[in-house]
Amino acid sequence: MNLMPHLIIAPILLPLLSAAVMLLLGEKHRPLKARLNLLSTLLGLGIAVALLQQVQVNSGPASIGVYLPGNWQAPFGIVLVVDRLAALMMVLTGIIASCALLFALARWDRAGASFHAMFQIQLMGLYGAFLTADLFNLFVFFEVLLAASYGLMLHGSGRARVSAGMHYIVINLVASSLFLIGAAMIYGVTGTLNMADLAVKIPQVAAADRGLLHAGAAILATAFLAKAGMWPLNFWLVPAYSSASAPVAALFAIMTKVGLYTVLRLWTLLFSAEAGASAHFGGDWLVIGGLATIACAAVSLLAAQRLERMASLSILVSAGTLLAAIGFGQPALTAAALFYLVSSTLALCALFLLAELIERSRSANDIALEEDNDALPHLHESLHPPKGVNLDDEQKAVVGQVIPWTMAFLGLSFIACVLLIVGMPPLSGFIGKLNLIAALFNPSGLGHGSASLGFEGWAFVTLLVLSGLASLMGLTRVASSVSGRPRTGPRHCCGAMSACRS
Amino acid sequence: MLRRNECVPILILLGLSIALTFKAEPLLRYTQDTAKLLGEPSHYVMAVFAAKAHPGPSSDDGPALAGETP
Repeated sequence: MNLMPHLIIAPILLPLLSAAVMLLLGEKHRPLKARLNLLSTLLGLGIAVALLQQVQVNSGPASIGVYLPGNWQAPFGIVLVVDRLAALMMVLTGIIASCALLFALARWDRAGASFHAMFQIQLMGLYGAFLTADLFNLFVFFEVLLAASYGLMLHGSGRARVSAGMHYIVINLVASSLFLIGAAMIYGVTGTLNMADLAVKIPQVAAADRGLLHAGAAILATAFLAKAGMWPLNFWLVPAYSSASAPVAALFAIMTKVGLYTVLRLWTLLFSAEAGASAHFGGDWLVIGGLATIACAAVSLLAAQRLERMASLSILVSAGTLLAAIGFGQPALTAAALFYLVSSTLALCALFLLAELIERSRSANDIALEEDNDALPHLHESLHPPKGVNLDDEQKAVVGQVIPWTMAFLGLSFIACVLLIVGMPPLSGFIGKLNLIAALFNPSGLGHGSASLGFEGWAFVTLLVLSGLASLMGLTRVASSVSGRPRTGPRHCCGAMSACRS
Repeated sequence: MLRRNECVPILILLGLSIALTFKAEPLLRYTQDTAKLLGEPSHYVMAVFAAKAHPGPSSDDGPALAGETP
């Protein structure tokens, strides 16, 4: 018997159930809740990987898994759909969530109430948004993930967090109402909210109603693009993300990608080449908005002082790159963009976590350096990292004898993060950017002769390169100001950094 | 100062990124298939409409659903 249909709903039910159990447990039993949270998050990752494997087996329509939770036929009942895109995003979410949670278990989960329950509800919203196949449920899952994110955003409290958090809440409430208005307008024109049904009905919409449909879609897109971080709808993002606690900010690295996923999903379904008069509606706006996002974020990167702020701005660069790449509407470019999405999300999540450690080690260094020695014995245990990290490990073993282990770890990890985010040769960030540029020049694959690149194409290539340069300049400047301050040990680290830089 | 839990996730994330450098091709092939599938929304539409609701237990075509009920 095939278990796949029922596995599709598991990523939504599992976090819901564990959040409910955690809320029942109340404020006591924190270690138990932490264990439950970790177990549930890892299980969710496992389910996502299983779904990914199942989706990968077949190709074409057979690869798409459909589940009818209410046992009603498609346009009438709720539908959950897992396809390659959804499965990829779910696995990425699972990885990011597991890492953010592991990090939070060290100290952050004690900084406020109900962290674990909110974390699970956030995951439920994320998984649900990736799985759902109708607009109304998308709205529901967006609200679920936002409701949890309000709490997580304020986790740890403090003045900066509360003021940025209030801003975040207001922006998202406005975006949610735009979402509702847009969905209502689309429903008014087409009479359905099921995405597949919309894809069928949109080519048949009467010419007189098409303007209204486009207005509805544009309002809906405004809501998603505000969440995806498109300029000029992204001014809320940098203060919110850079003041959130590190594990929360790392989890939020996937949140802009939810907006992007929704844009990609709806745009390719509703305004595909088969959509008649509405084909590729708004594609130019995505490209222009994406380019403007990259440009503004790159300029701000040059001016930013704090590492958390740089990480938030790098999220914007990555969001702009993805939006522009998707807006071209070419499969080769979309494929490259998805690769870049995976690589940049992993790197940005790591950077958010690192930023906190670097900031903390810097303030600790100002007070007492000898505490490092106490920390050493524990830390050596983690010198045996999970598989696939041999490169870092080797270098660390050599360097660690001369300078404090923590500084070596932080320095080398930071260098790896910078290489990934900037897109410099050895690591996957470079592969991602190279693929984007290659796909721009050869939309139909290598050997087909390069297509003529329009103004937008050239602007995209230029901005990709320039934004990489801006990130490199910004990140190395912040790195040298951060690691140059403390005494003896860290100076080696700074030397290692500048050696790698040149 | 640094706890093990705080280093492990960073090592995992960077390790995955480094693994992605060496295993870029499988992921690229996957994303290419994904993009191709996104370019043909009819597949998605067909899959959604092809999903049939399972008849309830009281309906009389019992033998027909024996093979497909969960």
